[in-house]
Amino acid sequence: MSKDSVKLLNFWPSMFGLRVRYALDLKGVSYDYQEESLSNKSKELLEANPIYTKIPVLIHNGKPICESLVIIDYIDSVWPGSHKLLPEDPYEKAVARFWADFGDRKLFDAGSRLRRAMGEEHKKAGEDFKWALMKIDEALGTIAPGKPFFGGDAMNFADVALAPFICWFKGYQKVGGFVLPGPEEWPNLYKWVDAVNSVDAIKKSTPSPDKVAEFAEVLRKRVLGAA
Amino acid sequence: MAMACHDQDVTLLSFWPSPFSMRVKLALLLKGIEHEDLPQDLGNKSKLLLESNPVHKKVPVLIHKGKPIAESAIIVHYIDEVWPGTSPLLPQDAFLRAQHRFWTDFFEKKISDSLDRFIRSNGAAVNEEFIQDCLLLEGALAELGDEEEGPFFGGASMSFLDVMLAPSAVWIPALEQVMGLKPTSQEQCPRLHKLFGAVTEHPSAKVALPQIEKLKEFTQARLVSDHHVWIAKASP
Repeated sequence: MSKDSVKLLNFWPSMFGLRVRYALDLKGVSYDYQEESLSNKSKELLEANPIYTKIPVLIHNGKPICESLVIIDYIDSVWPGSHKLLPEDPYEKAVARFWADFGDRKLFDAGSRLRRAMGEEHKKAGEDFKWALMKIDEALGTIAPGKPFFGGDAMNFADVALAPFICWFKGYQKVGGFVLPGPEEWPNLYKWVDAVNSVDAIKKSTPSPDKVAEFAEVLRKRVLGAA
Repeated sequence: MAMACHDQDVTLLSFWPSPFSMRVKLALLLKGIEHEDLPQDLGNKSKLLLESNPVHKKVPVLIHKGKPIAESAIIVHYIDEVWPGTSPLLPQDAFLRAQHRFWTDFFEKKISDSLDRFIRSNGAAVNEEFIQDCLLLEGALAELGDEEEGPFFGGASMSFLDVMLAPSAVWIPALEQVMGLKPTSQEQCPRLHKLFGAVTEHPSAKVALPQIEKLKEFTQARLVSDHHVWIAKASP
């Protein structure tokens, strides 16, 4: 019986790569890990993702899958047995997909602008970032009241999509020049953060927030330097 | 057309020029799902819209048995899951499903984005980007669509990716004729041209997609009133 070959091409601070690691680790799927240098991309990466030449790329039995949410959807289909990420109910599934998409559309987008923008735009990015986290706090209270995760007692597709932002909070605050509101304002969010951080599979691959913050500052300095 | 599925309580909050709204309409028609179509005034958003999509306040929204679903790709996934029997859209194979999702995401990140920027700037550089992106899509069609079976990514019948791309069959000609967008030639993208041609001939698409003339009038009116960002702001 042939063994599945699973390989992840990644770059350690990437939130998107972290989503894939979380999904694989929650399901107990073993994989080869290849760290990519973004200034010196491997031939394998360029061939596996010719459209964007970006990480993460999951290579499963020689076939590449790109784009983190597409990848975790794929992972959930291929390894459904352990730790199902997408709920069975179509409506709950749609809700989970919505909040995963929200992570990209609103949270990552604001974070990205925090890194790149100047002046008024930079200030707006900070406001948008906080707004997005507030929405997530509200959603947690509505979708799974009294429960730690979007998925209730266990992390689901939405949790996996959003969790990687947690180790980036420190970095975003540094480049944003603000302090995030605390648990008094966002009780559900912080309960969620604590719950996520206590999951073994999450602890396994999450980079240190200090290292991520250092990296975020390097990125920000580049933008400021070029201005 | 398939036998109508009598599911009570299917409502679509729509906006006829929105390509995202068109996608959902098309999925509903392909599957013969009876529904109430409630066109929305985006300049004066209804209480129903604001309550159904409080986070983004955008169309389309599908309301099924009182529960709202937003984001066109997510809605079409939902429709395919709840009504799997008729006109199945997502492929069975997990890897192929991933390709459909990847190219849907590509369309939004690249093609939709460059069209949006073209509308705002009417620039040659953006137009060139758009052409390059279409060439990549042509490559995807060559790889994923069996030409012998039919013109679509799904072969003889429309699949998920075809539904996601279908609105371009009317939007690209509208932008070409009103704003001078230069699309790819038939030589550059023979299969994509065949796909869009097949879309415009498809009975469900003929109902779901507005006529190009209407889109042209809409675009012309918006240009005159300087509302360049209406497409981006209207719907996800």
